Amino acid sequence: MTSNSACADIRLLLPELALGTLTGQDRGRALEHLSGCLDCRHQLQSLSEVVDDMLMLAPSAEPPVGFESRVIERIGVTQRTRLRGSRWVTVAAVALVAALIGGAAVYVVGTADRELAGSYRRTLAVANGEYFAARSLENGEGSTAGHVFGYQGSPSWVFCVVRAGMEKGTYDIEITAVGGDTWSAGEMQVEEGKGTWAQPLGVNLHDVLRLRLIDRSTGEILIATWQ
Amino acid sequence: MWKLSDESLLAGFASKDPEVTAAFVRRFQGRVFGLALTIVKDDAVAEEIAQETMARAWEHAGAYDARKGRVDTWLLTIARNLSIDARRVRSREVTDYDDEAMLRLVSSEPDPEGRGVLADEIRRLHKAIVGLSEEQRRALLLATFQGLSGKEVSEAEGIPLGTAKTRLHAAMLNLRAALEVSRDQ
Repeated sequence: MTSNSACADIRLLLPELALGTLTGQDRGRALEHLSGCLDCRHQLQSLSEVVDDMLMLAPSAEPPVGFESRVIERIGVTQRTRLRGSRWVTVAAVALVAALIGGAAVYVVGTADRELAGSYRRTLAVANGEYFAARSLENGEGSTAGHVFGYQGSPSWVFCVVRAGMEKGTYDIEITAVGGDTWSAGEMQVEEGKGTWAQPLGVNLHDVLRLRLIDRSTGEILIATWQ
Repeated sequence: MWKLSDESLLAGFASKDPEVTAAFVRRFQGRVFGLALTIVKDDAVAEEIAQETMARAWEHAGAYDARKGRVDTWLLTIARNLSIDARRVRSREVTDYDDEAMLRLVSSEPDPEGRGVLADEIRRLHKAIVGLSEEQRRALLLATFQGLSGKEVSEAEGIPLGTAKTRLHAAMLNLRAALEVSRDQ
């Protein structure tokens, strides 16, 4: 049940919701109201269409020569390129930790960095872990909807969290390895816009290519690309 | 190939068909790059965003639902979100917005060349936006093309938060009404 005053209050938030700039408590309040108010949902739909229309205002412009082939190359070699980058990051991280252990970098990094690196190293040492990492979980429109945190150790694991604003429901979690093997890893329940999920990986974190959350009712997908 | 609908091209794009992929990129690259350039105003950054937009579209193409909107709108929304993220990374100051670039969007005649059936739609949109009051138009352009929240619009314009929110809401309702009237004519 909604009241006119509640609708009037929420409707001033709808433009920012349609534009994707509404955050925090206001976003949660608006979504909660919308779940029970058809009139406000209709207005949000109308305002979203206005935003879509506005995007046509930007003039078309020719991208630099070779754009098309660069896109095709990027799509075709995405895994290889990202894997190569990831390995360099891993190598650099290992080298940094080794340097810190040996004291070689003591005079290069600042005190705060040294303390952070020391804390990181001690944390990993508790369970002989290799590294922690984090990735954004993005929806089809490129917006960040949550994060995935990973740990490489024994066992390796992932922890997934989505922030306020997600549709209520069940999300299937699917993991794809670098070689292309894909498996269902479980499911996450989202209530009041929030949800978390964690599980041991069964493979090394650096063998994971991506993690996907698939809304069981709408098919909408969120992706965290690991490599 | 060029007679394929946007949805058919997207389906071919998802399947990695080389010819359809090239056609898909060619069909949308100008608008995606143009929008990114409008927002970030840097050729290299705009190209990176346009490339990433195509890559994201490819990754999510299998889940695209035509009932939720047009393919071009979906692509432009991805490009807008990426562009605004890039702007925020490069420029933390709320007041660092580009007034001139926004004014250019509405001060000159629209450029619907090459946009086929959308040409009339773009002309109607341009006319409707020009018909808004200046303060409503500015609020709407700041929010849409610079990614400013209501609070940031209030800071940029030096007006109370409630005024900024009301202005944005009124701008969008008035624009919708004007577009509905022009489409009925």
